[in-house]
Amino acid sequence: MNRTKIRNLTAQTGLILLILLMFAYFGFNYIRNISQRNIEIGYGFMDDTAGFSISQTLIPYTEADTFGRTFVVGLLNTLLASVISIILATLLGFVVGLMRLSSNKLMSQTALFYVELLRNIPPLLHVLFWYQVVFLNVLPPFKESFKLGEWLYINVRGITIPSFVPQDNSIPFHIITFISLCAVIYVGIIKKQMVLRGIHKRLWPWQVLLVLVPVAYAWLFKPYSMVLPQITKFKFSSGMTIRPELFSVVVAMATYTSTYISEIVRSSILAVPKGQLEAAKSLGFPSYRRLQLIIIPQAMRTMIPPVTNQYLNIIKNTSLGMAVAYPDLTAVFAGTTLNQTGRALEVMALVMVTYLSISLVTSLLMNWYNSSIIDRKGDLISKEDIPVE
Amino acid sequence: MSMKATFKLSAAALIVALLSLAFVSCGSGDTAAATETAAAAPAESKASTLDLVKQRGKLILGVTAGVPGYSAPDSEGVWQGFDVDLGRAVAAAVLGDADAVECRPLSAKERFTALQSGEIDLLCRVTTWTATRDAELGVNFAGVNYYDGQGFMVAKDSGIKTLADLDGATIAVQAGTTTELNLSDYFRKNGMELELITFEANEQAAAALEAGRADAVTSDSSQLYALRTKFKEPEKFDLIPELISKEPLGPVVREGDDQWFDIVTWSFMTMLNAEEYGVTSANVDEMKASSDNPNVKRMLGVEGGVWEGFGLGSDAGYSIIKSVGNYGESFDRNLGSGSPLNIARGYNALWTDGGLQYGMPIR
Repeated sequence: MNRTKIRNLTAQTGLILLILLMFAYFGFNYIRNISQRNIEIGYGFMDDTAGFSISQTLIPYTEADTFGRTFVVGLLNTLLASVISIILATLLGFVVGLMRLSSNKLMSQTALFYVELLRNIPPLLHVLFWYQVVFLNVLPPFKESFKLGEWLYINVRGITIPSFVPQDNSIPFHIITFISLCAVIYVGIIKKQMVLRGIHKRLWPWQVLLVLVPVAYAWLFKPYSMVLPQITKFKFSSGMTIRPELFSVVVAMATYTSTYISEIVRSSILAVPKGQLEAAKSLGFPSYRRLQLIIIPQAMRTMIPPVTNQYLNIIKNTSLGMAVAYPDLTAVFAGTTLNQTGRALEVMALVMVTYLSISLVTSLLMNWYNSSIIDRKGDLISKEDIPVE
Repeated sequence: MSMKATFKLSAAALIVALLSLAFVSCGSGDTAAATETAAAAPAESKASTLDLVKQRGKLILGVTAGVPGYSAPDSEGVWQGFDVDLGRAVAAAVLGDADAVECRPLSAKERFTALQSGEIDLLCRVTTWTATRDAELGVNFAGVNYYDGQGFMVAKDSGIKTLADLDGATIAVQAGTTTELNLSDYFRKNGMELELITFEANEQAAAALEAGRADAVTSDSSQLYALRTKFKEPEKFDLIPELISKEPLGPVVREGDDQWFDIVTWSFMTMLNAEEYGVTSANVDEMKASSDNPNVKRMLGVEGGVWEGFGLGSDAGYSIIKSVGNYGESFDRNLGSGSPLNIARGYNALWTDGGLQYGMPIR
């Protein structure tokens, strides 16, 4: 080892030590401050009674429940908003991305306008726009709802639709639906393997038949009964209400992120070598088959990693719902619970770890999907990747 | 030594220097906090506040940085308000001149320190009287000039008249406050159903009521009245008369100066008694000359020598009413029908009108 190396090593070790020392100092300070105030560090407070109520809860919750339960309630609300936003953003993004590639000027220009308008506005403004402008100032008051028959009510308090209450025979229905869905997916996998081996057989009628089974069951035995919304003094006593807070967050996140997804879709499609399209054309594939069979599968490969990023952004950005009183993890747990308990370190640590875990699980799922469509060399799965039986 | 190594070394040295700087500043931050705590300890002042104020020729009054109706500078920069009026009453009693008041705006954090250190003579800053403050801060509360509490604002056409009508209602509230807990507790205790929407700011919660997203908004009632002035149609909204928490606001003095405590207490009591006996700033001269009521005579210094006992001139009571007016006048002018806030007297009505304001007898 020469002198330079030794010197560098000493400097680096010193730096690391100093950083560790700094963290130790902060930690020591924290413990001293906390003990001065006679507060114990730990998650014991999670068993204390919360005492405050939350507007939207996916699991039963009352003021008498614990702070621990407020965490679960907040987490589920975050997941709900994220999942709906991700599905909508993906669908919208695909449609807009394909529209931008259309040779029809009206289509492509509309898509361009949509993308440029929405992605250049900060996401917080999107959320505030839907809540403050659309819901609070444009929609009619509760007593003068916009009505569509007895089915749909739209007013400043949200969108109310009929709810479906499961009956006694709903359990066999759930089982049949689950089995039929599994079968449909299985048939899809078989079809793909057959295509890769060069066998072409029509399998979709089987899939349709499989879907028809639960539909027929539902039609014959009525496993759910529909309950129409009923207005009482302050709210709808029945039916399902999508609250303005949830609606604003979801629509804002879906539209805002769809612009980024559409650009990813567009660029991924453009990245597929032109020769592929020309070859497909010369083989006589009609235009929608070209897209479905040749272009999109190849574009998927480049699409998935950046789209995963956008999904992670959606999950993190749903915390903006705090600005419009959406009771997500940040608002409920890192907001009210933190304020009521004063456990800043414990609460923030837990929330950060939770967001980190959700994001990591999402990337993991996406990576797993990505690896399922490409082989070891990074090409799409093809005939050569199928083990010969 | 090569150029690269020199660069690396100096970069490392720079980082080390910066980090140690961070250490030093953390340490000094600690010391600053320590001095602050020391300053917060009550300062022992031997001289009586009355003598100090007389010597100085003016009263120094601690007020808010600007809460309309309670204490805020008007368009000419003169401090006006309900709390300022109480300070003016004390100045009128002590110095005979209600204008001899210097208002010092204080934040909620600064207020008690300013009083303890003798920077101000009297604190009238929408301050809630609680046991902890009385016990630990070295201050005394000299009465309650405004009975505040957590209330509910609703639309007038909603048909909600009492708290019981709120069963099942959607209520907007500011996040992370005791207001939120009080509300949930109240509904739980009474077996009422509640849908709570929690906003980051009171203004947002009020906007939710205005737009019809919520049936009611809850906060301290004085706060609700102030929020209402910003509505497009304030006349369409009103407060439910009942309150669900106690927030008594009053004047605060330093502990250990009983004479000054008495002067502040009785300046306020004079304003209450004046309202009860119908003495106003307009008719005080006439009352002084012709009233047969012995209470009024003692209050205005015609009989009795009550005020001399406090170390004041015999016309202290007269001076208060003449220059500031009685409690009702001050209330109407700053908070009530004569102001944009338009606050109902409610609990702040005189005891003779079913309220809680009760002037101790002057005799």
